[in-house]
Amino acid sequence: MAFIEVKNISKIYNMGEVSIKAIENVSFSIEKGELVVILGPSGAGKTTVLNILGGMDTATKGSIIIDGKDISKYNRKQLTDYRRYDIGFVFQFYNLVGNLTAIENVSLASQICKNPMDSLTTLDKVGLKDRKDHFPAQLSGGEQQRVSIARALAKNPKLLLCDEPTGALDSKTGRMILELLQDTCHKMNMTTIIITHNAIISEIADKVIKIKNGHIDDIIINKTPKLVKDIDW
Amino acid sequence: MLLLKNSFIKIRKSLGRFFSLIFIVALGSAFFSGIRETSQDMIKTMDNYYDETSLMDYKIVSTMGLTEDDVNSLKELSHAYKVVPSYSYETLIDGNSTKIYAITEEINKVKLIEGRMPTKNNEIIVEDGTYQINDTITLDSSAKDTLKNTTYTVVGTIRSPLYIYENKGISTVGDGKLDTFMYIPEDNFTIDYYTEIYLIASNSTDKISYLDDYLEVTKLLEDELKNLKPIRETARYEEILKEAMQEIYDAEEELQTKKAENDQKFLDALEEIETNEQKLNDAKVAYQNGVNTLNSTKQEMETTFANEKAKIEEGRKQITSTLDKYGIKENQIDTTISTLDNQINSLNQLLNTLDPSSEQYLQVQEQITTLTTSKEGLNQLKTSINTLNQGEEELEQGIATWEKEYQTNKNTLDNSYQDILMGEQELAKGKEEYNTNYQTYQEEIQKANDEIAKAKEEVQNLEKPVWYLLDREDNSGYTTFYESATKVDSIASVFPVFFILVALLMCMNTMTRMIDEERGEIGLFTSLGISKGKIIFSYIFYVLIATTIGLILGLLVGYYIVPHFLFGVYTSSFTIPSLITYFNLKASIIIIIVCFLTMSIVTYIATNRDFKYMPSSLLRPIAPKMGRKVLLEKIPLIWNHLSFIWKVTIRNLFRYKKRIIMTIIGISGCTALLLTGFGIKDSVNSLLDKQFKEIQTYEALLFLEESKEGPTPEITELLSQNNITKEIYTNMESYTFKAQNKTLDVYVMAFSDITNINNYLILKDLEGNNITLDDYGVIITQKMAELLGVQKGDTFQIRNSNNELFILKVSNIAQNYVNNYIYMTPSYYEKIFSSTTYNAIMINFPDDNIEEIGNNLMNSNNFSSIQYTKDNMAIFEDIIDGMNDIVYLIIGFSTFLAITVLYNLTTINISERKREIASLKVLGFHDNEVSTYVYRETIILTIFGIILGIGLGLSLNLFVLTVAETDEILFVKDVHFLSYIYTFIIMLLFTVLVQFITYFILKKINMIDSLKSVE
Repeated sequence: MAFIEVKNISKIYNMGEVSIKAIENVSFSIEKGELVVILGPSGAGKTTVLNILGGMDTATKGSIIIDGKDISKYNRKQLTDYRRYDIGFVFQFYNLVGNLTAIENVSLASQICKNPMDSLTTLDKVGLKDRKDHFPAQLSGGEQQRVSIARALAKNPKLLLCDEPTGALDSKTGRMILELLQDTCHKMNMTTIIITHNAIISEIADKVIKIKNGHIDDIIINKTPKLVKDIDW
Repeated sequence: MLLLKNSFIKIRKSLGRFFSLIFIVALGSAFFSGIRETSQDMIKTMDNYYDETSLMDYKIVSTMGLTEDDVNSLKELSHAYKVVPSYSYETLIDGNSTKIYAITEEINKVKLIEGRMPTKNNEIIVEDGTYQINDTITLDSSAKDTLKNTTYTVVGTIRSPLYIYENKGISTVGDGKLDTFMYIPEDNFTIDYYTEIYLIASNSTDKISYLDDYLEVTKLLEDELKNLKPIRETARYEEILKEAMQEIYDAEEELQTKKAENDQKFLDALEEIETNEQKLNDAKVAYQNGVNTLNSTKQEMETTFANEKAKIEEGRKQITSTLDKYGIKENQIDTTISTLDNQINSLNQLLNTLDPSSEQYLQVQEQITTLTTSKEGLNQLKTSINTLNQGEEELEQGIATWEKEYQTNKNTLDNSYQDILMGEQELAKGKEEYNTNYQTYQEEIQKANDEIAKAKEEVQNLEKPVWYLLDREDNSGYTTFYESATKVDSIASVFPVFFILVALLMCMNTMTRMIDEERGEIGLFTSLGISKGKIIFSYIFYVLIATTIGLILGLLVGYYIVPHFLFGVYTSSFTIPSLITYFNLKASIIIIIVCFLTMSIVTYIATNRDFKYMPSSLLRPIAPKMGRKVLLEKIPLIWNHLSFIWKVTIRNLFRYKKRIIMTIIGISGCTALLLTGFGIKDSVNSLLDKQFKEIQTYEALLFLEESKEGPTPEITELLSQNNITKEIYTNMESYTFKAQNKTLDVYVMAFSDITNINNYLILKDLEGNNITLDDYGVIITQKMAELLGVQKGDTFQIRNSNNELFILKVSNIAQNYVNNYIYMTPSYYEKIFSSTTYNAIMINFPDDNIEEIGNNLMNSNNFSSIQYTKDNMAIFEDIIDGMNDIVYLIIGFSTFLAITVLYNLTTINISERKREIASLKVLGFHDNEVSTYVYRETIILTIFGIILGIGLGLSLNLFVLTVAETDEILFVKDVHFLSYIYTFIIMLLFTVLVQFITYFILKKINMIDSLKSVE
């Protein structure tokens, strides 16, 4: 059985009399340590998938089995714990706490975990050891995103979810971030899912899941994923 | 137009914010308008009632009643609008001291609550809540001197403008406290003088009672009355003096006449008695003579009889001896004689036969002679026996006759003796009767003389009648009401300002946040070329809609609900009509203008700030606030020991300085309001205990009917009969002093006993040391010393009612909270006022039977009234209840404000950090962890605000109390420890409550928001 098994999930939003199907019958599986890109245009439903995978939302139908546990049956508290212990999240807009230094932002996440990584080590891994006492406002966008990644990694999660991690960054910085993610995935055997609308990024993935209008359009297994430095931005 | 439409849409979208704006404005304006208006409404309501019932402005009573002449001269006064003479009578009915008034048609009109007005003389109307219609009221028979009827039927219940307060003042009957009042038709009064005259001053009805205008108008009449007073007093005095003297002269004349008549009668009676006595004495003498004569006659007779008897006895003896000689017995005499005769005869015959010369013859002849002699002797004896017998018989007859005569005489005498005895008895009786009558007569005359003498003395000592000029302020209900109303006002006046300030601050906060949130929209509008003015106006429009709704609500609540709430307190102790609320247009226009202006300005300032930036920068999100290290981080000793969360909290605390300031000001403001509320409550509540349990500890003041030089045996006996001991006589008089342009009242008290004064009055200086009275100066009370600005050793002036000036020296200043007093020794009193008499007695009761003992004492006629300390307390308690209620209102409003402020601050805090919170949730923070992350700061700020607020509250409390203090009352400015605790707990409770509410708001924050862009 795959590490992540998504079976026939649907998400239906009931807006009064109208019901909108955000995704319908989405099924895929992801192996441990895989770098997966979920690709799709705006409004295709990829964020919904991410939300459901990240335990921020629940599917209306279907099951999501992660490491043998069906999170689709989780209640609010269980979902919170799931996010807390199993998920690392990297936001498009970094979502750092402005009032905390880089290292404190990392600690913020790690201090609630069961067996976190050392904050400083993690920060070192993303190459920001020297800037650990800087506040987000004193860091560039790429640096902020790296802190964000460090924060996600420090939790020592089972799954790293990245929502358009390069969306707010210029290509050069974006590349650095992608490199970091790919590196981490490979070195730490960290299952990583990147959500993006940028098809180029999909080239670095082990598996690409294409979503269109709430349906799985295609699932491509990339036997030879490119290294970030090799892709053409 | 679209912008305005946009504003309406904003309202719909941000109902929470919109309502919180409305609520703040409503709260502020309701509080401000309501509290300011309450006292106005109260005064107007009462003025309305007074006008409706034509409450008198002045009342004149006199110690000797009032006459038609008085009425006429009063009617001539130019400022008198109405002059109405009337009657009243005080008596005990079912144990209640009751004042019965004559119904007056045009003044002091009563309000019928139930039933109807009396139409017949035996009908009565009573205070509402005392008797039922158709009840029968029976008066003491002594009422007959004043009233035609003593039995009445209740036909209606009423309330009277004279008695709006539960404490109805003093009474001359019962326990000295008036319990209730009744009205009967005027015809019932039979006394030939009026007991009172009521007056209404010209134009006074047009003025609002209590206010300066009213006082000005009535002052005109008062001046006239004061001028008329001595004239009428003298006139009445002369009239009474004339009447009294006439009566004395009549009495004297009558006495003389009576004396003249009766004296003669008694003389005649005495003479008769003497004559009778003389007669009796004569009779006695005659009787004695009779007895004497009778006795001597008896003796004489008895001697005579004895002699006779002796003679007879002697005769008998001779006869017997003769008989013995003869050797015969008496009864043998005749036989012997016969024998002798025979012998003689025989011898004669013999003789005849014998020679005469013979011897024998001679012998015989001799024999015959012897025999014949014997015979003759015997005959003689016989004769003498007869004679003797006859004599004896005669004697016996004589004795019998005598004895008869004697008996007759004796009887006669005995009878007359009986007569004499009877006569003596009668005489004695007569004498006794005479003596008794005479004595009675003398006594009567003495009495009459005494009475006349007394009447003369009374006339000589006849005091001038005194007119008492009483105005409305002598009615404790009238003044207490005003006191209560203004006390509310003075306390309340400070709060609204504070309140409005906090409200304004909150409004500013809200608007700033709103504009921060809508930064992008403003940028968009600006970039679309919409003018700055229009954009700002759209926000002002938004605010003003909220303000308008808030004001409408606030003013309605303020003018129509708040006054009722405050007024509700008064209806318990006052018998008054329902409150009439007025919409104070002038005040509300001012409030509206002020609110509109300040809100517009606040909005303008908040909005205008954004126009410093170019539209493009406005379109971009606000750069996140630079995180900054706090000072504490430089102290590693502390910082390194803090948990991570605490570090974050401390860092966060200092992130938004404006928010810190807002929170602290808001919370500390509410805390200060709350603490002040509690503080006022503490002050006024401890005031009474301090004054009446720690300073003036006497339980009652007995006012003497007549001033005394000192304790009298009668009163001492009376008091000890009621187990009252150690009483202290005091002279208590009212004087005035001038301080700060006001004429104020002060009680002067001198005491008969200085050493034991501690039983009744505990004098302590301002530091709390016990102080004593000395003969070199007076002890004055704290507030008075403050007002006069005098210290130990200074002198000051007081004046009596005749405006005479007295100068006193301050020997010490004593703690005191209610009223102003000057205490002194009797000798100092004498030195200053040149006399000492005592007019009151301070007493403590032996047990709780206060009423009963009070009645006993009042029944003795020694006292004119009793002033119970507990009644005094009750009066103040009512004022204090009023104050307490305003305090509850303040606490209530502060509570609302506190909740609003806390809610507002927390929601702003949350809205500012929505992203951050959402991120935390995504990171897997539990709901309670997220909440603590946010609350921790709020709670720290709240606690800090509370601590600051307590400090602020203490100053505010002091300020409010100083403002609210009157010239008679000194507040105890201590805040109880419990009040701090209450304040703290209430604030904390609200904080927790608000956090509880925000917990759900936090819970609802959508994590997915964190994925969105910053704006």
